Amino acid sequence: MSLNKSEKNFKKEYFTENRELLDAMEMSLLALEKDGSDSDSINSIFRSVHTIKGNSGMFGYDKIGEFTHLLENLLVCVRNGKVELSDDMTALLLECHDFMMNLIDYFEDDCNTYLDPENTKIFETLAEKINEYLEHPACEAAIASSSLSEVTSCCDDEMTVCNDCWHISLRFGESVFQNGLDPYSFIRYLTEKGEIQHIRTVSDRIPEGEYMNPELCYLGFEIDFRSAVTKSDIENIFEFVKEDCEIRILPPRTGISDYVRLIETLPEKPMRIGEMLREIGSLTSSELERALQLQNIQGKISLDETEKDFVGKILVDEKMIQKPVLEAALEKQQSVRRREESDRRTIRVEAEKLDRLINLIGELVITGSNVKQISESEEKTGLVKAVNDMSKLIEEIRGSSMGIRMVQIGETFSRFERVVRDLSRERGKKINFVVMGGETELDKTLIDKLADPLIHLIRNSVDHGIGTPEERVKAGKPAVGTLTLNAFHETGSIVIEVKDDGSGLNRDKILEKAIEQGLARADQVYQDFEIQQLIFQPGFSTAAEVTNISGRGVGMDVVKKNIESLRGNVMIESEPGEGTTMRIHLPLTLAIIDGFMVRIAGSHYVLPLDMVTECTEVHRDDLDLREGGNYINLRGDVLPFMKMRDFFMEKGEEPVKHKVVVVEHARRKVGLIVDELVGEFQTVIKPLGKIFNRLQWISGSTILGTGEVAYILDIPRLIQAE
Amino acid sequence: MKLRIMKKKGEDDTIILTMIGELTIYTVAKLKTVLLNELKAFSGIVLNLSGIDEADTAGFQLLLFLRREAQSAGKTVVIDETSARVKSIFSLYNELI
Amino acid sequence: MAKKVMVVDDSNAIRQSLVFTLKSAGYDAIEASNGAVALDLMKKHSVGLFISDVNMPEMDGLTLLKKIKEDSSYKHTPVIMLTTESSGDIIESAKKIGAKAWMIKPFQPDQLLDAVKKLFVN
Repeated sequence: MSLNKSEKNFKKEYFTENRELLDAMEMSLLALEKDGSDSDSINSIFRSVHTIKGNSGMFGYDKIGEFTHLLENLLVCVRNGKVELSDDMTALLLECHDFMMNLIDYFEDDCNTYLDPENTKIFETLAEKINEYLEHPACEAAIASSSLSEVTSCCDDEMTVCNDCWHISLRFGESVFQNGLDPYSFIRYLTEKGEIQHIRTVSDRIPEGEYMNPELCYLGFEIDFRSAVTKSDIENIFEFVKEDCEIRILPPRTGISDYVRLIETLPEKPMRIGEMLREIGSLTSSELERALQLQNIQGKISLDETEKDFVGKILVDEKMIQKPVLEAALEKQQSVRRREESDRRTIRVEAEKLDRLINLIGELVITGSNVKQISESEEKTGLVKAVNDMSKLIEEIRGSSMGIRMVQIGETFSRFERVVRDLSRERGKKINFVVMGGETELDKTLIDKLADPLIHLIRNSVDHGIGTPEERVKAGKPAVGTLTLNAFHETGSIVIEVKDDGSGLNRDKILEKAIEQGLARADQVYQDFEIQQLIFQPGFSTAAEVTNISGRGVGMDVVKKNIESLRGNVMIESEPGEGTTMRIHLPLTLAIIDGFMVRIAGSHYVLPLDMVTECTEVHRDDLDLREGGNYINLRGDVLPFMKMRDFFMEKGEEPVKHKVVVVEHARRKVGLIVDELVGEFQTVIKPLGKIFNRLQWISGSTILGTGEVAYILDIPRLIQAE
Repeated sequence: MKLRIMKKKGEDDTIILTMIGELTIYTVAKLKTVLLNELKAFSGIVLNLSGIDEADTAGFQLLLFLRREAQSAGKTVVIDETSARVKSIFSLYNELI
Repeated sequence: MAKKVMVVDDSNAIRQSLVFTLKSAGYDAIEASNGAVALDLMKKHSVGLFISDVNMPEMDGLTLLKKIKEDSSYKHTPVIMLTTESSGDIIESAKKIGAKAWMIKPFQPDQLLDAVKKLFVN
């Protein structure tokens, strides 16, 4: 038995909520830093911290509670004006924010409530810094500073125990019975919170014969307890008896030294305890052996001859220590993966969107029963109308369920504020970060996958686009650079721009590096856009200067690949001296498109409708007679065209009149010559299997009502190919 | 009276003690004297606990104690019949009856 | 009819787990994310007991408590305040305004249920 499902959900909610609170805290901190101290921001930070503290206590995450308590004290001082909010303090608060974010991840992955040595160290360092402020006399007067004695005792690098159960050692005081308490009820209660794997009654203390007073309690218990509860949950179970009972709780997979300590502190002989621990499965033989050895080395206990024998024997018995350790490691990896997956599975939805969907479904149900009634009667005109109504509703439902997937990109954008802040400080630059079009809605899946490439582009701009204040002033620009993140809709795509007002791409430098890397040839003349494309070449970014960009070993080629995997593309626009714009074009959504169906020879193809700008006709002769290549005259404009029949190498008689579908993507237009225009068509994209990966002009397939398969044309690729 | 004890001689110099009522902190003091006396007088005790409708850890402890005393004196204690309540305590504590 | 409890807390996680606890114990429970929402909701429902956090955006717990006590139909309805601190000030003022009980986070579900039970009996 572990936590039941709803309790787990609450925990999940706890983590989600804390992340949101931390996000809010970060935004307020950044606002403070930018615009100076204002009481609203401080209050909002205080409230975030306070709520996290309260929640953490309720859910048993005492370490987070402890940390937020410290932080809260500091914020109380700031709020009361006892301590001034300096830049240093804001920086410290941001550091604390990051640490808490890490803690949330850590605890969600690890399912326990203990800190590993690494985090303990950070905890202590930050706590020390906070305490420095709190030790300020004005502060001390206001707040009794918290004790941190508990934090300092944590195991360093040592072997941990494989057993994944809590170990609970109970030694009841003699007066328990007389105080009207029954150990039975507490241990019984344990079974409601988890599973007692093993329990061992320790009756050694019962005196003999006349000396035994049956009204006194001499009992103790060693319990192996499997549960997802926290330490404080367990402590709480024994809350009422804590005066009358020595309670020692060891978390699952704790360090062996913890067991050594346990063995030392329990009243029974070490070998006796050790044996019991082994018997109930808390320790494996080899772990026990190691524990006893450790104890021996520490010189605190000397084993007698029989005990040494015993140690020798278990050494022979037990050889299997490696496997559980390995399993534990694997399990941990899996839990990290599980969390990532579950992140993707939940979407927070605006209540309004959901309400609308529910309303529609309600209406659909009504219309559905209407259809049924009418179809049972004879009245055909009514049926047609009812069916029409129903189709319309289904349409709308599709639309609004798609809407649920859509979230505003602003939240993601504002997270980059921190990236810009930290990085510009590090690089000694002054940058004003501007977000535009934050209300633009984008498929949630896309947004998640966009974060990394965007961070990369932003770092790139901060590193290389925008110069230091001195450089900028020298170039006749304001000392503070501007980095703009902009999102908007454009012909069926979402466009996201990362724009800086820096010095622009350095043509010569890029070319030089590219030649050095063997990506370009010295004797060849390159167009501007070709040079820009060099940046996206694999290997380019590992060159010296231009590469510090990421500092993470990820190059622009990876950015490009990531974006292309989302059926998007990335372009660079750069004016020397004016700045650089990185422009990402993305499809609106991944799953369903409004399509436009055409026929080419015997096959049907679907084009994303929002990339189709118009359809027209052209006579076969007009195409053949053209000189100098594939262009047609579209109302006086020159339009490049592609003959899809040729493209797909279809044979057979061509129709006399060609149909032209004009498609546009990333500001380029192309006319596609097809046999027949079939019409608008809504479709669910099914990704093609791996074996079709090499069909590069096709981005997916869909099944038609007739059972025939239609291919979805990858317009961006086609345009690029042209 | 919270606990009644009926005694009956059994085979092989044993005494059968049938208890009805409470095996709790309220009765253990008296019961201990009775049990130790019987253990002295006979070479074995058979306990019928089917009439115990209330029991607690103090009672459980007393039975553990009795078993140990018997062992060190080379005598036997057997629990013949038991009640649901006694059973639930023994099984929670994972002790054999 | 099940007795209706209103849970007011800005934390979803806390609110949901309290509502769950209450519902599993057989109470009817409704939730509000802050004082203002609670005031709105209590007009539409007949609430037998309030459980409210202190520190909340929009309208904090003490203000809500005051408003509940000012409302003629809720004047005698018991209110349990949830606080994080054993902060004497807040508890004192809550007591003065008329809170019947307060609980200091963290607490066990059972402790809350005990308090709820007691208040409903009275």
